Amino acid sequence: MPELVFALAGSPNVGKSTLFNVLTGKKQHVGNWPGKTIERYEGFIDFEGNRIRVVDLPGTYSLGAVSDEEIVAREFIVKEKPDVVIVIVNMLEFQPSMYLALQVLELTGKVVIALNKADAALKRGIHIRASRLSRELGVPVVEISALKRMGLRELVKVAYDVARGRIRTSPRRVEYGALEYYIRDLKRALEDCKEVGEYPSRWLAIRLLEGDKELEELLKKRCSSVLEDVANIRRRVEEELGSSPEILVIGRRYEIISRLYRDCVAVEEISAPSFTEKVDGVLLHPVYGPLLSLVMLISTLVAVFSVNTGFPLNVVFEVLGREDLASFVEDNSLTGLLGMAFDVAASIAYSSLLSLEAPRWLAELVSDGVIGGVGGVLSFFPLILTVYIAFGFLEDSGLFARIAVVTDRLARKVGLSGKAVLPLILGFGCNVPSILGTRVLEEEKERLLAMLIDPLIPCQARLFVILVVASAVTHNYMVQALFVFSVYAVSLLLLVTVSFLLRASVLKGYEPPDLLIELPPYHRPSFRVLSWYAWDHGVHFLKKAGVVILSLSIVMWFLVNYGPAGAAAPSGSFAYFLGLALAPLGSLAGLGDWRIMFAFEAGFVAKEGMISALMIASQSPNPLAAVGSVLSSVPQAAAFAIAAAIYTPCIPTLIVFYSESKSLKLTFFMVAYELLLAFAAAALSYHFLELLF
Amino acid sequence: MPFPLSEAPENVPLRIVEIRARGRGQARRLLEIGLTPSAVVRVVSKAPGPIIVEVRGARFALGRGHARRILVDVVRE
Ligand SMILES: Nc1nc2c(ncn2[C@@H]2O[C@H](COP(=O)(O)OP(=O)(O)OP(=O)(O)O)[C@@H](O)[C@H]2O)c(=O)[nH]1
Repeated sequence: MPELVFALAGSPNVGKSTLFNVLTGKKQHVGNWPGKTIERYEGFIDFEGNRIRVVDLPGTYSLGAVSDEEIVAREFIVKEKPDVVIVIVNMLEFQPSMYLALQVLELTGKVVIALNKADAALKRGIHIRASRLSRELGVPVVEISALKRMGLRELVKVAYDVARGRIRTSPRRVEYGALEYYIRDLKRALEDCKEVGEYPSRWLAIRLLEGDKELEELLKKRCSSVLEDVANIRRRVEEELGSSPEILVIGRRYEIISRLYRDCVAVEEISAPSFTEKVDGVLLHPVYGPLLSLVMLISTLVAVFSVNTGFPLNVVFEVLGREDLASFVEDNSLTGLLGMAFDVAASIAYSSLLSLEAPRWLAELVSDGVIGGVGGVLSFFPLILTVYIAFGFLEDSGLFARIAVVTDRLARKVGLSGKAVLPLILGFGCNVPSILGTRVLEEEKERLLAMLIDPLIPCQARLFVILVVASAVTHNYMVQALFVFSVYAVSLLLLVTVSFLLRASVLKGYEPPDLLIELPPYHRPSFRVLSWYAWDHGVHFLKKAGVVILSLSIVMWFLVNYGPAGAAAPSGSFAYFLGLALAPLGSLAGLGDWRIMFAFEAGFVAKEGMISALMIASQSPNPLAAVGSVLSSVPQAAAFAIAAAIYTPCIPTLIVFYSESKSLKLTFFMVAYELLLAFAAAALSYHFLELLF
Repeated sequence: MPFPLSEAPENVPLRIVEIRARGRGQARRLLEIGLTPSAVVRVVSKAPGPIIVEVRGARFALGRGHARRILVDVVRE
């Protein structure tokens, strides 16, 4: 028997990912939809000895062609003809989520409706008459709770029966009243165009009537004559019915949904304002709202930082005089643990290779180059993972939307909408998930702007460099704090400036889009779901970028350890000569020392590598001493820290930028502007501070 | 007399009369989330910045530009 294919469709937040995960367990596979930066999730279920492939379609409100997600979802249904489409409807938000269901029903009859979140609906006194709804829609309706794993077996069984043709469906046909006449006209015109025959003709006519750019493109290529008919009929509708066809079409669908709601949904009146309403009163408050958002964002970052490196929790303990706790936090941070594991692995590899009489260079290559490189790749992993968990937490709980609302006004000043705020803020943790997070921005130009300025947000690896430099400059905590704060201030000032310049030049005419975001009811995120989500994304990233990062780490290792004359300590290596060549340029910013340039070379792979590069170059085992030996004055230290914070993002960020923008030109542009900016800012601040000190 | 949603008082049931669309596709997102003519909406809160509306049992935040484009009238019992 051929493999059956189930597709999952649903609008955002209906619980689609949750259902996908509980159905497929760990048997799944993440890839990309061809030509799109949208992830494609596939998994398998076994049902009575049959293997069923489950494809998770992107979450969308609609199947119009406004976004790539919508195109992906509908092309899959039309072209790959899944044996059944399970459309998930959120019982808590019946009407908006029903809209997608209705559209899927216009496209295919092999549909099962899954009414999700039955557990929460019960608590809120929402009842849906599944049998009536099923009769109205002409397809089976199953009530489930993905979270509590209720009704899943029944759902799979019904879907299976529909797929096998054991349950016959007769999908409700949406009647468009006065529009029917025009739909018929258009359908007739389309009959001459056999080339678009893969789409159901009625559906095609309705879509074209409501205006669908993607389908129009298709017609332009295949039968451009029909395109004129489309425009004519649209114009006639507007004149004769007095309203735009899209309002009529969408309005009609919602009329049907309103009727379904009236006939099939009963809500017990609850007089007290809901929890969500009460919390929103505070979180969306004009004064407390922004403050609380700020608190949430900062605590998220502190949590992410502490889990990863122990900072700033360790400082807090130190200040409190609990050195023991401070070092415990550091040692048990993810980065600390991972670093320790790789140090041990490297030294074991080194000594065992030597004892096997392997040549010294090989032992070094394996222990430093390869294991060190893998360690380097994996050292990003905890950061990416924790940032994803934080992002998922805020998104899932419903807090993300509230943050977007209260920060919208501020964000518009930098040319973005409130939706961009959270992804950008997460850049303080790591720019990789931050850039990926800008996917929530639907408007292309807004996303581009956000991605271009994103690397100017100093990530945690850069914070580490800045902190070491600050501690090398002074022992005074207050001055250190001031130093760190100033570097951040410069970075953010530049971010605002660059955004302004971009909007005045390449993005001329762009306006931040008006906010439009759903405010889902608050709820406690399930840690299980969060960890799936973070793990999948983290692993996906590693697979995509791991090889490049690893190869570059090995190249870097080679450049540092080898020179024109063969094996060489840092001085005499290729990296040394490059550093020498760059030093005159660096001296314009007070950084005319090959060791400093050497550190910047290393920072290209990963910013935290800058400090260990300085240690190698200055042959000093202690980070503070290493920094102190090359940076002797405050202006120098400031120039170094500023340049480190701004110059070219690390390789993983570049890889993600490229894979998201799909443009080498933009990637080069980003690298070039940041190098230039870093250099200019470092030089300016150096000379300015020279005057003061 | 219909008036823009951006001018509407809080917590009063309103009926959407018209969605003014500049150019094609502009109104589409609004329509698709259920802000269609004849739908009943309620402004939950209108602090400075985006306004919060409830429509068909779901809540959305709308930027001012969107809110100006939606014409409503007070529902009379
Ligand atoms: N009470 C309840 N909550 C659920 C159920 N299924 C999912 N949720 C929650 O609904 C929220 C959205 O779930 P997701 O699985 O992320 O939804 P999605 O449809 O994939 O949404 P996007 O990720 O935005 O596309 C999560 O916070 C889930 O924990 C359920 O059966 N009952």
